[in-house]
Amino acid sequence: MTAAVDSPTLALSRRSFLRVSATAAGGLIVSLYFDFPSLAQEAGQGKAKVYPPDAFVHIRPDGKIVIQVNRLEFGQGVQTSLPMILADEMDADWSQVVAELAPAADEYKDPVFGIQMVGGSGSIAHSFQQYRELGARTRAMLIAAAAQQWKVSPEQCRTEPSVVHGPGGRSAKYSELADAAAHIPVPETAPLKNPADFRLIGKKTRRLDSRPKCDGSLKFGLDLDLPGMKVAMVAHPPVFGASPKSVDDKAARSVPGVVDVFEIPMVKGRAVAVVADKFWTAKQARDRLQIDWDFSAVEREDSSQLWEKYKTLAATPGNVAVTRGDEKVLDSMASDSRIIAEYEFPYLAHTPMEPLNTTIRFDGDRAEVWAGSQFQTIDQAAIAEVLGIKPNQVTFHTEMAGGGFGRRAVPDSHVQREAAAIAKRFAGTPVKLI
Amino acid sequence: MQTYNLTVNGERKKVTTDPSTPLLWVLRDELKMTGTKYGCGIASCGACTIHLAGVATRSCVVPVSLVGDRPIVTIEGIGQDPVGRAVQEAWVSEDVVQCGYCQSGQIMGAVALLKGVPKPTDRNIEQSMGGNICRCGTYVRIRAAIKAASQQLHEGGTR
Repeated sequence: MTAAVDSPTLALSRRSFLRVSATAAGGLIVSLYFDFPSLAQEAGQGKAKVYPPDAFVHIRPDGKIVIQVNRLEFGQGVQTSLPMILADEMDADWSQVVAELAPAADEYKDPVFGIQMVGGSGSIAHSFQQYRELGARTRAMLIAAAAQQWKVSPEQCRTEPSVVHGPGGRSAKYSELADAAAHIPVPETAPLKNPADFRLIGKKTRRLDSRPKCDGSLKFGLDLDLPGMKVAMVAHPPVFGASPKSVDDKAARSVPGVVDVFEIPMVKGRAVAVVADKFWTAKQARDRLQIDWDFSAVEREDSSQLWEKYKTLAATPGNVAVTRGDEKVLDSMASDSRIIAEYEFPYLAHTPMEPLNTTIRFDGDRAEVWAGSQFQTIDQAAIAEVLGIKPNQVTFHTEMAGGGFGRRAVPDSHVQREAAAIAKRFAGTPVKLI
Repeated sequence: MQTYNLTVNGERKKVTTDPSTPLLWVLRDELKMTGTKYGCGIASCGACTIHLAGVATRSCVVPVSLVGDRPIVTIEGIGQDPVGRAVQEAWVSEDVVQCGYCQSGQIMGAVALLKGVPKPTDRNIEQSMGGNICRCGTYVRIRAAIKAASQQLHEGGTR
């Protein structure tokens, strides 16, 4: 058991795994896993889970330390801050740290929310302890590996960034110890640093993603390009809940490069999807669709009716959330010392700079997804449902996202559902919905 | 379909496409240069800014048929230019980016500004860069980075 836990999920009994795997380049990768067994498994059911090839830390033979970030990066900086925490406890050389956005997997679920997601400013609050422990255990295993090689006790060893030092001036780089460390049992506890010894936490550093965002080399979800990929665009109804009554797609289909035009279900109502060889073809074709919309299922309440409803509700006594002080004092105040005002806030239609997009390749019984998702667990399940497969048959890559502003934190996963409905018709072909 | 000979970041590129295709999509879909970003598609956000014969231009609304022989410079090539290099370095050292999606366009806009106005005032920066939207709100750091780049270029420091 770990020395300190800060959430109910972290307090579950946990097993820890290490795995060594060969890389394509011939080197060795140390993968460290921390398993949060499901309740079913704890009850003795089911087989061991199948894990993705890496979980949180890779020490590569070239000295690079690749740290997985269990949340979407969309500007808030978590792709730098979480690796800082792990690297500090691990005593990793920060200049050698590479951050990657983790795919959807149980290991990457938010320890407090219980699903893989980012929101509510919870990244550091929820994963500070988790990433510290990951770093501390990794460091302890590297020390143990060095101590074993030098036939000394671990207490005689100390670390400097990415180096273990032992008695008699001996030292070894983390990359040289990674293979041996993979055979060390994961310690049940590992000491955490005294905050006074932090090298990175609380210190000014620079974002790891700065430079590739300044030279055009960083790939966002929209920049994904796969062999044979098609591009889809959707003509959505002008009002929530409407559906096409009739569609004239003759002009759209006549645009060279258009592959297909078809109706897809939406969470509410229906839409028309265009699939083409590339963006400009899809855009031209979508703009040439002639759609007569059926508004019969659309809600009849309009904005002015809603405002009237809100005003009536605001004047109606409701449930008491909290009581502080004595509101009767207000009644005894002279009217000229009271200010009464009404504030009306309009609906804010937000959108991120990067148009929402999702790429899916459906292969019949499996799917691969690339999306700048804020709710990986929910989006993965929604795609699986539309495709008629199970969530664990959906490999879900988290893509760097150009902002969110609420549009990626959508419980009904409408973008992913539309992308799945489109990809379902093109088995074997990746389709990017823009 | 028409064939166009374009000069992109000093290299000759031959592209065969529909004449109405915006330069942005020639760069992204034909030349696979995705550093230039698609934001609004209607020249309202600035994410797609490139230099066309040295002029900061919204590539999402320029059909490839209108490019002619004017040289194109994108975010992928701006680092070859001393002003471009200084701006990119200032962007990194001032830690300007957040989500980063608008920053290719911001940098292209800033380079064009510094080439025209080597020592811009706050007002110059606001007027010149006002059409480049950053939803993360990095404007204060963008201004600081433009000034840092200007200073670096004029004090001739070596980096």
